[in-house]
Amino acid sequence: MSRLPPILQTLLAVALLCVIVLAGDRALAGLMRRALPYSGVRFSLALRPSTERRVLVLGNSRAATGFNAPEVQRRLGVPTLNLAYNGMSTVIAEAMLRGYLAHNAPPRLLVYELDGLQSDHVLVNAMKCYWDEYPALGELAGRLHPRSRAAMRLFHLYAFNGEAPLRALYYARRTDQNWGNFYRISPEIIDAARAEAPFVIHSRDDDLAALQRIARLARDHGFPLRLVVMPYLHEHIAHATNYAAWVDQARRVSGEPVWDYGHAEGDVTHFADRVHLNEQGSVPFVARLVGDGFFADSAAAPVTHPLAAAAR
Amino acid sequence: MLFNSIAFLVFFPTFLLAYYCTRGYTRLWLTLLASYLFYAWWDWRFLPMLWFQTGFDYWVAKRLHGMDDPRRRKVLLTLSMISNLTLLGFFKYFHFGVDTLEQVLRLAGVTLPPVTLQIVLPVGISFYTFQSMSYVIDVYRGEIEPEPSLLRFATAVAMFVHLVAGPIVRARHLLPQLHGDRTYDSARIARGFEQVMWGFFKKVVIADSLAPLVDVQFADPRLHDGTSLLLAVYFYSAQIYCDFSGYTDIALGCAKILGYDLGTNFNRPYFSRSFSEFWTRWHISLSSWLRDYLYIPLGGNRFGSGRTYLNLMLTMLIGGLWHGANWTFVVWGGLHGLYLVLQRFIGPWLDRTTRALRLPRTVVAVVAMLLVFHAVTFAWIFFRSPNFSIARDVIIGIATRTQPSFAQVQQKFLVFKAIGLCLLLLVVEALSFRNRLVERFQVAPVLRYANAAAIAWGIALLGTFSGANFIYFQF
Repeated sequence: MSRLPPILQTLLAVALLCVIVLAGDRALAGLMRRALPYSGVRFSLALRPSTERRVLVLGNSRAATGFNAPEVQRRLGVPTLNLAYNGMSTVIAEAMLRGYLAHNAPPRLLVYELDGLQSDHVLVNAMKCYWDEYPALGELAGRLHPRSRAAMRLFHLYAFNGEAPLRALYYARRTDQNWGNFYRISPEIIDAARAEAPFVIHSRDDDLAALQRIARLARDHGFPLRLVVMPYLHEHIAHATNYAAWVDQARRVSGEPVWDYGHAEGDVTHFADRVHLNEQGSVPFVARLVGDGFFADSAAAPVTHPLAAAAR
Repeated sequence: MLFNSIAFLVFFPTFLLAYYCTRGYTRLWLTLLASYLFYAWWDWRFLPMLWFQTGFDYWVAKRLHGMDDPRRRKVLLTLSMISNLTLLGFFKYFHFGVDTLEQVLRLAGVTLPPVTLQIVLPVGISFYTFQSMSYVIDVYRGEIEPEPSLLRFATAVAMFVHLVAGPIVRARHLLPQLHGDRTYDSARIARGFEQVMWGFFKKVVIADSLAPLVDVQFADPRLHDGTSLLLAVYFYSAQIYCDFSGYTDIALGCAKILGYDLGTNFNRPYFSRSFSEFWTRWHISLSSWLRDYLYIPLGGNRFGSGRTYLNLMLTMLIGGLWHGANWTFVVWGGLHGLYLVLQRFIGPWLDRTTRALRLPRTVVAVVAMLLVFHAVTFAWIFFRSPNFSIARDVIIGIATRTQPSFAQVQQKFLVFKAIGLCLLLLVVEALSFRNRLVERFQVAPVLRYANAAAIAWGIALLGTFSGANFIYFQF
């Protein structure tokens, strides 16, 4: 190689580096992709084919940290999977539900927390490693992030860039179902909430349309859907000028009743911040739901499902 | 044009190809026009100002040469300084000056009518103004000959690798390199390429991953717990270092690929054992500029302790103001001035004490490094805060709401990632002190390829591709 002209030497070195980088990229990404379904993170748990009919929870961070899945499981004695995640919009929730139904028996009961009606779809980009596993999510990503799609074709490792793969790694040997906020709201945040200006809760049109499709999906697959609004810090939500209309809109669009607990928690020590319950708040909240008969349909007789039939 | 943009990824290889296909004046013209294109990509309307400053300082330097009358020489030099500093002052400090005047007059009961002038800060103005000024001063002092070719001088001022965010390259360092063609050197190009890659890693992976964690805490510190605020302050120390030194590495690496040596701008500053050492390792091109063109002309340390302290304080206060038109930058500079004064004041006593106590050298060095790092990090609070109330809230939050528990920290995953990246940076910087290891990495082809490939994989896996600006662009 030393006899070659210097420019050719450089070009050869660059070409060799490109080959090494791309080969290593494919090899490493391939290994990661094989390991991904074995993680205990919720999106991987939902990918493992199961005939178990669970209580399935979808929503954004309010449901992810406030809807205590182990507590539901302990009280009802039925398996529960919390598939909610920080920043999950209703559109993304629909994509996740479709992916879930492709691998699993329909849930006993689907719980959807409505705050995700306000969310945009930024989370899609953080879940690149699941785009292929959840085809509806991949389709959505193709529309929203064509550049990321193209970058993933060039660098397969780019699929593992983001928060979701880090979580998958962290939960490689344990479950993530016991998420919770283990801290209490500070007096400064409560004061700031008291001083908030009046605001309007705005549902996005595409999220409302997704909610309608989720309700239809539930009816088509024969599982009950529970729409719920979890508690907000009273000092904060009191400034929402259209709260009742917002809840009513969700009810009309979905054709399902809404279990409205938005104003139901008066104890500020049960909050981590303005919109999230903490661990101290989520456990009694589940107890209250059980007492109110929220999970009444979850003990219903199992419906026949191809996966369940195959397993028998 | 940003280094971390798609446009630059197209621009640089295209330019490189053309650069090595040309020679002599054609290459100079190509470099100059490409540099103007690079600058105009941001806003072409400020190009005439750059041309004016270049042309005027070129003319002043030429006239200074061979002029014997000291009074006329001084007048010419003053004219150049006024023209440079007026433009810098107007674009950078106009609103700052008006606001300050307004506040002072309000205290005296006088209200000024509101000033509604919209002034856009031309990117890079602080850097190329200092470069141009140092050229004229060097010619005035007789330290260098004026450059006969306007083309060459304009290329030195505007060369895109250092134009918008430094380093501040002195004409005496760059101009000689523009005489004669830079030859093609594969080894130097490979070193430049590695430096560019490491610069990208520092910017895209480390700095941009830390940025959102810092931004959210400094947006309203009252809403966050002390542990999160403390972490944010540490993260900002790493962010600003990786952001600016990352930019510098890309700039210096690109220059190396083109055949130019622009010196060193950062040399593992957080390993400094004293504040004076810190300023020989952090933004070296600025600190040496301030030393040569401000501190020493003010008298340096030649007129006794009191005058030395005053000169140090003045230099650092002006250095702070150079960074931005805000009193928080002045306080940041003032704190560094105070650190330097304190070091001069109690340094000898500390040395005697540690010698008397016979403390192991390593222990003393580590304690000194930690002390310097924490003092510098404290000063960054003012640098990062948009106003004093935010800085105050951050400091009060850390002092009163910090608990040993990690429970309250939000976005834990991003925080863990950030801590991991900071540790990686620390290890890499610490290992770079081991010269033999560095040499092995520079010589063994397998290690070099592995290193470059690992950086590429790291960028793909951990990079944040938000196209975020470099912090020093605003200066």
